[in-house]
Amino acid sequence: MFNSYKIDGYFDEMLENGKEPRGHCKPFHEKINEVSPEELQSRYELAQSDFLRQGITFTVYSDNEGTERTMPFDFVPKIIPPEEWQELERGLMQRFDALNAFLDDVYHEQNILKDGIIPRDIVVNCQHFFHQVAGIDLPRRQHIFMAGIDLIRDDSGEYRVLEDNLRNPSGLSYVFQNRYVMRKVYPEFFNQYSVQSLEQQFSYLHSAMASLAPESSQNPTIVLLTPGVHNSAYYDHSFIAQRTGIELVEGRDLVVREREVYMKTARGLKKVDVIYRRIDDEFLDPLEFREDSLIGVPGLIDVYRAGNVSILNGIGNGVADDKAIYHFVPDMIRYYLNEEPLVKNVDTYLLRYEDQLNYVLDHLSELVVKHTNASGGYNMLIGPHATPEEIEAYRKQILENPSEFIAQPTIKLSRLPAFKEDRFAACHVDLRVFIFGGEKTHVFPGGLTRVALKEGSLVVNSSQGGGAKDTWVLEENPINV
Amino acid sequence: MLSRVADSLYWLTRNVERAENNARLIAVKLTSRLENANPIEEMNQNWYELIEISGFQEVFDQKYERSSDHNVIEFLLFSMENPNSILNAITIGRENARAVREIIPNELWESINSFYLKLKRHSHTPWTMDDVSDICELVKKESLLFQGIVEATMPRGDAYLFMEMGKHLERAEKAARILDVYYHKDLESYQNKEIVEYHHWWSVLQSVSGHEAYIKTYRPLIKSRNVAEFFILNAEFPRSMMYCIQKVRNAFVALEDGHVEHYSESLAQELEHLANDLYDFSIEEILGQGAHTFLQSFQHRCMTIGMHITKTYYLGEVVIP
Repeated sequence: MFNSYKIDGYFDEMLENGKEPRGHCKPFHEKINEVSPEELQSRYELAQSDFLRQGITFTVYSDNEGTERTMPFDFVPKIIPPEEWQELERGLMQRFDALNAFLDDVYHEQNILKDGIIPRDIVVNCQHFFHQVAGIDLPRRQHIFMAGIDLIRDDSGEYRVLEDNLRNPSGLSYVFQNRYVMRKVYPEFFNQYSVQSLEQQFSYLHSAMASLAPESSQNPTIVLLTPGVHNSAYYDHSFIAQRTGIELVEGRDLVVREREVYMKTARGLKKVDVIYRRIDDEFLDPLEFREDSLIGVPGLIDVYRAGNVSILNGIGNGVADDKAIYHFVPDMIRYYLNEEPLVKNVDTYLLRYEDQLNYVLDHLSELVVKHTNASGGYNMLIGPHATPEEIEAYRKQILENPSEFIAQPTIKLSRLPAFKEDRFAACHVDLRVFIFGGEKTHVFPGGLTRVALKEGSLVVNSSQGGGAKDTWVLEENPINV
Repeated sequence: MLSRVADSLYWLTRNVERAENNARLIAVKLTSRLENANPIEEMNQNWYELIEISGFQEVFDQKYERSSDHNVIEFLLFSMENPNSILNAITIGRENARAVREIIPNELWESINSFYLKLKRHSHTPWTMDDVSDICELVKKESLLFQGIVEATMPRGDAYLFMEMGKHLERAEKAARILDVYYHKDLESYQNKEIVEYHHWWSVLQSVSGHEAYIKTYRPLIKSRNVAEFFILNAEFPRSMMYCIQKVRNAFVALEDGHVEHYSESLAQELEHLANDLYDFSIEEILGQGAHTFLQSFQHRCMTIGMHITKTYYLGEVVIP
């Protein structure tokens, strides 16, 4: 099964020096070599059908009617040794705290702008910077309830942050479902390992939400606000609501009365204290943002401003996970925490600066160029894979408005084996780690490992053919082994 | 509980119940064709009864030129143009379940989701009359599994009670509709009337799976009066109109903790009147006023109760001033 497996100068997370499994992967590697390809194939099918039966799907809007699809699941887990994880955890908490401090600062005193650490115009011209929410004091000054930070490993195996998702990061439910399916379909793979459990995470999650309630509420009513069943991440929404024991509501279930938010129950109106919203800022309140939004709640922002409801994640968080502002996160860590960043950024060129623009224009065929407003792998140029015509077309786009673009070197994303019927192929992976605020910053052990199942592809997004893997963080002091 | 959630739960069980009832009716028709002494007379026109029970004759007539077996069954099983088809009911039921999947047990969601996936697969593959019985069996089994999961895993709180109301109201209304259609049928024109009549009422009982329970009460003597009494007034049979209305009423009382408030007064009254009528009238009195009149009025009262449930608990699109 591994005969045709190629390392090709990439960092392979399972194998080193050509063919040998890394120490922490050894028992797993031995185990899969014992199982016949036919057996692996039939279990693989069992796993996929389990996802379908459970309706763990996302919606693809490729044609007129949305099609439900399951995210392909690959059973080779990403295994993270405890010391590696602890270091990452520290680095991510540091980053989270700095981003949070930045958000509180830019919506209040704006010291970081006054001190010239970040150019003011990048912040105030950012489309996700909302003056509507300036000056609001959030409970615990926490703007971020949940972040989904995307990490990659470069060709030396070093972790780097690719994106800070501080608005509505999705995928938490898949972390759990991947684990459930793994335990069910491939129980013996766990034999030699002691993997950190995910089970108690939802009680942390619930108390984090409760701790961010307005001061006046003792036993807060918490709801999760979803755009509805047709949203592509609806499964994620209902899963989180179910597991944290909160009500799943749509905009039409909520109503504002005298600067309070209520939900419409079968027995009349009931006051709501905390809204974990999974609706984008622009659609939350037609009175403040987009007038045409039908999924929001008219008057909601006014209640927020009055301090009578908490909205998680905070409104206007997008200013901190903007692709251009990303460049400055290491500076934020130094500025707010007086520490050196523990997890590096990917080197990023801001094309608003002439010298960086010129460099990028000269090296387009080597770089990845992204539009600062795009997400999900859309509308980006992957230089090494692009034709000269594509590069020229993109060059035109850049020159029209250079400040809307950033560029990064092509990272040689690390790889892991993925099952392909009769063999294993080396496929690129990244890792989305979920971090949440509240009384204190907390990191979910592991996260969502996404894999580019199309061989050679660097795009791991589920909307573009990516799949998922289980992520194991090993216990420091293994029990039961 | 959110009124939107209550609405979804209420319609979830109504739709599953609807699908099951349709499957029972089709299955009974299939067997009665095999057993009937007058197979020719039982032919096409009689399939049409199922369309009458479903209440969508117009849609059917527009869609098909004639009522062949295949057309009728296609319409009842899979047609998405028939609001009452089994696939439609389960598609809607599954959407209802999906909208409340954080409220219902995961097992229940999985059961209706795989129910839907199986039906969908059948609807995409060509089928013959030989497959119909299997498909009906599948629908009945999946529906019973669904109900079993509800009974075995759901706490008897608001969610359960809304589901109870939906299920039993649907069942009561459907029982009345079935009886009404069969009562309507003119058996006089048949040659060997006695046997036809026997089979006729036997199928009616089978379509609510009541044939065995009936025999225990009335012995194997099939008389229209007794069938009507069994269908309408039997307090123990779980698909009789009396039993179902009692269940709707019990769920309502539990939901309201035994109190009647201003907002629930009209619903409470409707339920009480209907339950009392069923208690007070004997089958002779009911048949005396005309079975059709009674059954029509019963169906109408079920609809009124449904409307009051919607109003009392703000089900559906809620406009709060």
